[in-house]
Amino acid sequence: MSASTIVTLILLLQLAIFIYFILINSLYSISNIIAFLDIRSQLAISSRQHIRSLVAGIYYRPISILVPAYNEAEVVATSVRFLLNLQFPEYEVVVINDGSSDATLEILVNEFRMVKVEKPFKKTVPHEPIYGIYISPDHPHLLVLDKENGGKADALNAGINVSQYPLFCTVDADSLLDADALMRAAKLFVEDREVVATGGMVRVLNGCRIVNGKIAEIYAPDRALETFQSVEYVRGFLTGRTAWNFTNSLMVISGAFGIFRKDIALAINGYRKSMGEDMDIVVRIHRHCLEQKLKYKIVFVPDPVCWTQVPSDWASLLRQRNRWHRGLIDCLWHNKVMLFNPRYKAVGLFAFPYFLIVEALGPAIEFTGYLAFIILALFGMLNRDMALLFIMLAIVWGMSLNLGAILLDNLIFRRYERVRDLSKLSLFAVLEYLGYRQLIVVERLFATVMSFRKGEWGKQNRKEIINEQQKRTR
Amino acid sequence: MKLIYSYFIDFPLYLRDTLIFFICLFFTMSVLQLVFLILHKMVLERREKRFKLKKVMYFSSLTRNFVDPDHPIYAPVDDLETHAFIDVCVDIMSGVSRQNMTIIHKAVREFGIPAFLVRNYKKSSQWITHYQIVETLGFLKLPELARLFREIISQEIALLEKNRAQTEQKKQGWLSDVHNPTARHLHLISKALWALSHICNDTDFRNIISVLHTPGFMSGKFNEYIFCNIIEAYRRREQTGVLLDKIEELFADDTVSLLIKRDFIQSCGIAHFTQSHTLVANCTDMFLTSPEIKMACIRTLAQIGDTRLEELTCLYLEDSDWRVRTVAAKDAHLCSDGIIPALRKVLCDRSYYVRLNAALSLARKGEAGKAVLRSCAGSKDTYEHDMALYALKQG
Repeated sequence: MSASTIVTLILLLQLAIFIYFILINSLYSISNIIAFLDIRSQLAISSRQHIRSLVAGIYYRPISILVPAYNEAEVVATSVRFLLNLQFPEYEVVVINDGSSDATLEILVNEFRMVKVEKPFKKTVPHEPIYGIYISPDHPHLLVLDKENGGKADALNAGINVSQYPLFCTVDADSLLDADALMRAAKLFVEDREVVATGGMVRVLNGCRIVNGKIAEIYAPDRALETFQSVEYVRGFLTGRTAWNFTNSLMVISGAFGIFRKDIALAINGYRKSMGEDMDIVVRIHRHCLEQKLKYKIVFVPDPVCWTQVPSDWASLLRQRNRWHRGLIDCLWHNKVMLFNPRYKAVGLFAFPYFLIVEALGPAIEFTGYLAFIILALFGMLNRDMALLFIMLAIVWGMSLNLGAILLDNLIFRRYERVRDLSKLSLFAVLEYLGYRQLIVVERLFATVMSFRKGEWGKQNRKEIINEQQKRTR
Repeated sequence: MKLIYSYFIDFPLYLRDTLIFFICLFFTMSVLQLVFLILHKMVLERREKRFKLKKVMYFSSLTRNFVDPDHPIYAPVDDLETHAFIDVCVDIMSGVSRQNMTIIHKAVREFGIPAFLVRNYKKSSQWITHYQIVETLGFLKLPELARLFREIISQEIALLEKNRAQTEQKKQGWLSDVHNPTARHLHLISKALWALSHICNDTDFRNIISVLHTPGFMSGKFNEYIFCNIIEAYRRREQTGVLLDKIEELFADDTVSLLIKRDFIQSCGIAHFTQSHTLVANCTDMFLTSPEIKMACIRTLAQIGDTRLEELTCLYLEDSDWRVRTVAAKDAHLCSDGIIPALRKVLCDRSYYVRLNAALSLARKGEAGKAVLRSCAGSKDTYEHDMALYALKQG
């Protein structure tokens, strides 16, 4: 192959990447507009007073909160204490200790005076053996399962079997829910009989002040790495998921906070062992309902908030992103039959291809773009003006999208109380495209290459959640 | 190929200008967004501070007026004060006594709040504003607003049907998944229905039932919620006797679906409508074949009490439907000790849920029930053994 052919091919590739870039960013811009219109209406139908009247009333379905925990000794007791204080008329908290090698179980047993019982249960979905079920005389709606290690999906399956209510909510052990989050997310199951799953918004806990089990003051995180993730979470949840919601083809409900109808989860044999079990269950629900021609809705609700700790060091962050990306690829591979298949309607024709081309292959495409620039420069075929302008366009467009998401968040939710925090978030929204994004892209590219490795619990270095008057979580 | 070369290597001027245009556009947008974000935050913060202060002022003057009727409640003078006053009234209304509700109603009428809200409703063309106003008016529970709610319901139903017909024509295949524009009408209808249920009178009773009867409208829980509000409205007016007649008519009406009847029975229990116990108990004879009604009746009777509870529990513990047996077993502990043999029998039922609930009921029955469980703990039947042990520990 001659040098000119290589250059021509690279130029063609570059053109394709340019078109891809324009299309994707246009799609994101449209998502911002859709999000603005859709979120406003969603908020209007769940006013503070309405939610308060529901909490005191009968307008609910009882929920089992499943908290899978693997080596969560630092945070588990605080998280469970918060969950026991939620504003919801009828619920149980089921903590599943997935064979932790640290003191997770001992802490729970001591902290909540748990007693081992022989509770018989129906093993409807498969999971590793359960060593013991613990109940607490002080907290009748708390249950702890101690089981053999089998991964997060396996732990959730055990929780589904032992739980008693028709809805179950998955919450990560390092996350906190807003007091009324459960009611805001669960009321949809009562209002609309077609709703089979809902997911709430996940926000960054790092930096916030917690008093008596509630998020008292919301601040932007102190560290740069955490602030970048705050921007990512706002953009991803507020604009991305709302837009998919709009077309009834939401493919991801965060594992940190999602509510599912138990009968549907049982119909698809529970969670599948996968690194991206949260996305996998949603995709399989879509698949099941569309194959069975069932009327269903999977809904993202932006106002119930789950606060989660994000990694505060690079190693944990990259590990997390690597795991997420491998989970995504695994899920897409397992459900590949849905790709461009009209039988699966908008999910098969829009959402699935989007996740494949933009989310799974996106890092490779983006990286190829950077590489092509270098090769063209080596061949002396790169027009510097064009390259510079193209990079500038990518940066300012990205900046504008990020700022748009933060503006939207502030117009509708107004969670951050201080102007200083908003300014900080805006600054990091601008800086995200200058290095941070590229590093994440490289890690996701590695993940694409090593995507068929076996999954495990992806652990990040946990920090204790401080529930004191004068301290902030770090 | 030449074209690509010309684009990427020669980089024509118009392409450069286009790129520069978009860079400037996005940059300007970013700056504007940033400025708007900060300014909006600052303005809003000031407004919210004032709003909170006004709310505190109205809250204290209203609550003081509850104990000292001579204490004045200042009339709101601008929009901010009016909204603060409305917000406080709505907050208080959810848990207020009948006497204090009268005070709030008087103040609300005196300050022309309903007229203010209705004016805003008519001014706005946005369904979100309409929805919020209907909700606020609903919380106020003013009987004179019934006509407005009725009008909204009928208007929105007409619009919904029109939109549905149009949507059906337009949508085909996979497009049927895409966002449903009729949802806004459904939201408004349900909210107006909820508002009307708080002040429901004899005319509205049948109208509400007929809207709830629409196939696919909301859910059983929503129906229960509405029926509880209706019971509360009749109670507030001290007309429970009239309501009982209405319910009797409803149960006798064959055109009303069984599920609506079931939801009403359940609401009687949830709202602790004790006067309805005979009516509910008689339902078990009226709808002999419906497991849904059987379950609703047994749940309701367990909540409000009736002499027939034990007889029905015994009967339903032997029902062919496992759901009926489960519900009967769950509430069996409320019966006399005479129920124990029947519970002992279902400890080895083929349904896990029946066994579990029977065991828990036995544990709740006190020493007599626990004695049975202890004897079952030594049983060779694994089901019986496991359930008995679990229930004993729970007890």
